[in-house]
Amino acid sequence: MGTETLIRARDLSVGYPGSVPAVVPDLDLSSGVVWHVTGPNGSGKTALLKTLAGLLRPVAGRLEQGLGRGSRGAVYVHSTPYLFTGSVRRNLSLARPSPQQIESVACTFSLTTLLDRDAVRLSHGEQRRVALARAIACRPQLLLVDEPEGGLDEEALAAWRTCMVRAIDEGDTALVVATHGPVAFEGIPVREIRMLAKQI
Amino acid sequence: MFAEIGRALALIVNRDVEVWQITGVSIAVSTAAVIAAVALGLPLTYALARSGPRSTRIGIWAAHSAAALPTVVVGLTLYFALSAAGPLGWTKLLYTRTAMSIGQLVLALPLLVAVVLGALHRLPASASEALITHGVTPPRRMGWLLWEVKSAIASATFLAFSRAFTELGSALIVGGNIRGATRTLTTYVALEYNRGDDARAIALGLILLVVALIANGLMHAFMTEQP
Repeated sequence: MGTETLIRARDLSVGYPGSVPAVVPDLDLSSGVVWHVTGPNGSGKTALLKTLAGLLRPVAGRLEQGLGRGSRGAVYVHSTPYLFTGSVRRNLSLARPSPQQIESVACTFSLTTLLDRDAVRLSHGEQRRVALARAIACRPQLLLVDEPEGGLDEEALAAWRTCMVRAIDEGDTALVVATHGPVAFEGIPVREIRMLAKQI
Repeated sequence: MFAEIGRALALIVNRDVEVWQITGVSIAVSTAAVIAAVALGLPLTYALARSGPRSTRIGIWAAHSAAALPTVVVGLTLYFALSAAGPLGWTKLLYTRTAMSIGQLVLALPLLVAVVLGALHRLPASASEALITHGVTPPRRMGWLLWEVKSAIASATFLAFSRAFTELGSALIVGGNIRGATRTLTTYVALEYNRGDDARAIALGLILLVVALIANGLMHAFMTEQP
């Protein structure tokens, strides 16, 4: 299991333009671990994930990361992911994975029979499975998932956890999840990043 | 009156050469204008949409304002630019179909930009973020996002065609209503009916109406498809 440091954050503050920034504890984000971002509503969990993914600029502090985006980089999955019009297969091809990768990830998330269905007409749970499969098809080094388990049934939850345990065990991926619930991936250590309520 | 309408319908049904030649010129000029508007307008609209919410709002306002430009003002401005003493006189485009298409392009472009920019503005931020985070390159991002608003693009294209096809002021001023060359349905109906050939004017007016209604019908069909 690898423990390569992917991202180093010091004195980091995150937030959206015009809002009160959230202070992030110093962290050295390494692979082989599940990072669990906790904190009350509005404490900046989503802003932190987006900042680590390179979608938001840090408000203050230093963020050292050599990751790109997409394949072998950092990928962020929204709590309400956007699926593009067209088939599930079209959505899974967003980062141009090979056809074999698409089939494999579709099989993992029980999407094989849905591959040619219109993605925007799927149920909420199915759409979340597509979004997770789409992100994992990139084989990211850093996967940041907002509320990963919302809307997933038992089968999808099991697939998601198995998939992540495999990727983390291979030393391939670091997983950062923001959720209020407990995080459990069999055999994988979990470290907590606690966000504090903003001081206004 | 009914006799004239009867004669007009006979001209259409009997495939009167001049009637269909003028119709062909009108469709060709407006189609060229709309193709140019789409080719220029989509990248321009995407660039505006990407430049931030404030710029997008200003862009939508500017496009709406430009869409209200009177056709004669566009025609007159283009006339001065293309006339022999004007800055573009060297192009010798005045009284050509190209000049007419340019005039119609100026009229069609703001409509297309306004509609497509509004549609892009309504897409959630998560659409663009999904593309960025999955490492999609900027040119492919444009393709994916424009595909998301394809119904708006189709609707805007027919709206732009309708505006171009039915305008008179610009076509008359920069085209000159030259028989067999720059004579279109609108310029003919406007200027030639007083020569006494009412049946021909009515025939052309009917064709103009039918084509404009088809374009509008298609525009509404695509508009109702939008989410």
